[in-house]
Amino acid sequence: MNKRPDIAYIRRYVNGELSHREMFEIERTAHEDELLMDIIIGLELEKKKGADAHAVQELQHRISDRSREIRSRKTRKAIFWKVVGAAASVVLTLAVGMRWWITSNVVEQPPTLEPSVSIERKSPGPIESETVPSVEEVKVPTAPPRQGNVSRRKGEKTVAFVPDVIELELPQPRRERGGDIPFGVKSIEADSTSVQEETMVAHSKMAGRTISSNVASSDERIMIRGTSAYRRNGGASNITNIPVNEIKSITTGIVVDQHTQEPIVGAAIRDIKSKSVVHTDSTGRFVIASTEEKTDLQVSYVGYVQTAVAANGSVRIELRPNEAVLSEVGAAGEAPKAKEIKSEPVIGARAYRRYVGSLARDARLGKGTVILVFSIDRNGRPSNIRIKQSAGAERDREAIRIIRDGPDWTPGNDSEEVEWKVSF
Amino acid sequence: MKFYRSPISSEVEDEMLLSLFKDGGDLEALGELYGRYAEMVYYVCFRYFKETERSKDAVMQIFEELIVKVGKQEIQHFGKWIYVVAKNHCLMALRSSKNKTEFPLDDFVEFSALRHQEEDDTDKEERLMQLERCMDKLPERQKQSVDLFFLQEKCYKEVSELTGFSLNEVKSYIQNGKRNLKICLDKVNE
Repeated sequence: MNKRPDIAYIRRYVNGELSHREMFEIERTAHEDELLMDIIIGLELEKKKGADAHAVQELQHRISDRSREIRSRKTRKAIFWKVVGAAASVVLTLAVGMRWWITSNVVEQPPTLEPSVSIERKSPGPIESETVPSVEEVKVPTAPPRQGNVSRRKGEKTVAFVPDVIELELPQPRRERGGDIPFGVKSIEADSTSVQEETMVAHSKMAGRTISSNVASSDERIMIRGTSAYRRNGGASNITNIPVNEIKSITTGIVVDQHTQEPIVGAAIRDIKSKSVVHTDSTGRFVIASTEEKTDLQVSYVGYVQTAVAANGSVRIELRPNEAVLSEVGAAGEAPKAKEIKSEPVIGARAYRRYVGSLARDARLGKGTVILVFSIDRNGRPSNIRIKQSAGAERDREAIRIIRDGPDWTPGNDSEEVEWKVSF
Repeated sequence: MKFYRSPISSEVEDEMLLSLFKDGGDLEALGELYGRYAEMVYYVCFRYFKETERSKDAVMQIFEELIVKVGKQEIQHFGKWIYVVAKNHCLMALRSSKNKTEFPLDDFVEFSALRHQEEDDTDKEERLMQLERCMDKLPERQKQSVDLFFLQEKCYKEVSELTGFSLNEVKSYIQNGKRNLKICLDKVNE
């Protein structure tokens, strides 16, 4: 089997933590593989000169900062109406902000006067759609100040905050009402089976696009408006190529560390079907739009194992720290309770099936189904691939090749082998 | 690139991110894609520059190059491609810098000297004989090291322990022995 260590593994080699056989395998491969040789020499030099432990992390930040910087510069060159639009929204923002400020200071003011896209219902029940009539109301989400702002009204605590805003034209304020937890972390944790879901649709006339959102409502109410998913649809910089009227579903959620349960900031969430990508905000939350009713999300963050989940209204995603990285820093402490996790393709079972299916079709070997059994090694590669049901030598060979050279897997801990059907 | 692989990426995803950038100009997608290989690029740069800060700067410069280059080229394996871009960047930078002495020629490595081709048995036999004859012509230390590493499959550390040579000596004996073998074999085949 071809072994494919990552940099953490090569670092273990450089530190002399590997067995003689493992060392030989790396050395032998390096004789044929220039890149591997370069990395080994680089790591050896780094070890000699003293490592900059944060270099890679710093680079990741610099790269993502840089890519946003260039993008916003491009955005600035945008068309005239956008400038006009921005100016208009500033004026509106001020006007509405004033009104909001006034209302929130009048204690006895009935809540109906709250100038917001109020899609809140006292009794939960499905709402088909709700048209927001006035432009002023639609613009409200841009009104609250950018910093955490807590105002008390009628004994309730309303928390408004704005997550990292990358673009000028579409800030993403978000509010939550969640008991006394400031950012409502708990409220999203609510067990999804007990959560009644209301689908609410608000039409924003000024922007000329439809915004739909699944809002989970339980004892604790969550309201999310103006979402980071839309920053990609900001006028000329619409780069996910999702025309807004094609958005069929929106998924909201939170990404947390599996062990510490701390929210993870800046994790990337990718919709496998519509290919849009969003990042979690400063509280680990995200909102992502998709052109599909049902899709899979793929969540990744440096130092964690990439995870795929089905998009489902509101989701809580727990990322497992990448052990390879953890062992580097010598993490100590109680071992987390071992949950039985099945091995699964990193890109999600559905995408993996499509990948395998399309390659099998392209092979043009005639009809037949091969069932393979294999285990996943700790590098996430299928190994020990065997045939459970054959469909002729040629198809068998091709099926093995497809799996062997295919996408990575996330190894489970149930030590069960994977069975996969390849249909030609 | 058979061996190295970024831990959180697969080629399918790389392609996805790449097409996001190529088709829609999504710079964040490119940033994310490059971010996956940043560590690899960093160590390749480190191997040539031997300095933290200079390597970091190079990683960022390569990213700038990337924005221009990606759209113009047909890229099949991003990982492979970015390695070539990074290495060329480093070599160019070193060549243009005045202080040429800082470039360590000793570190240069020759590759794919011993390529296995499919041959029938008689050819194989013949080749093995030649290999043996050439092995005998090697200086004793090189012969010993090459034999232990390539034929007996010992790692550098074991070779060093068995022969009493230092680790660096072992590396250079193997390197030079390999080169001499290749020269010898080429001569015989001519």
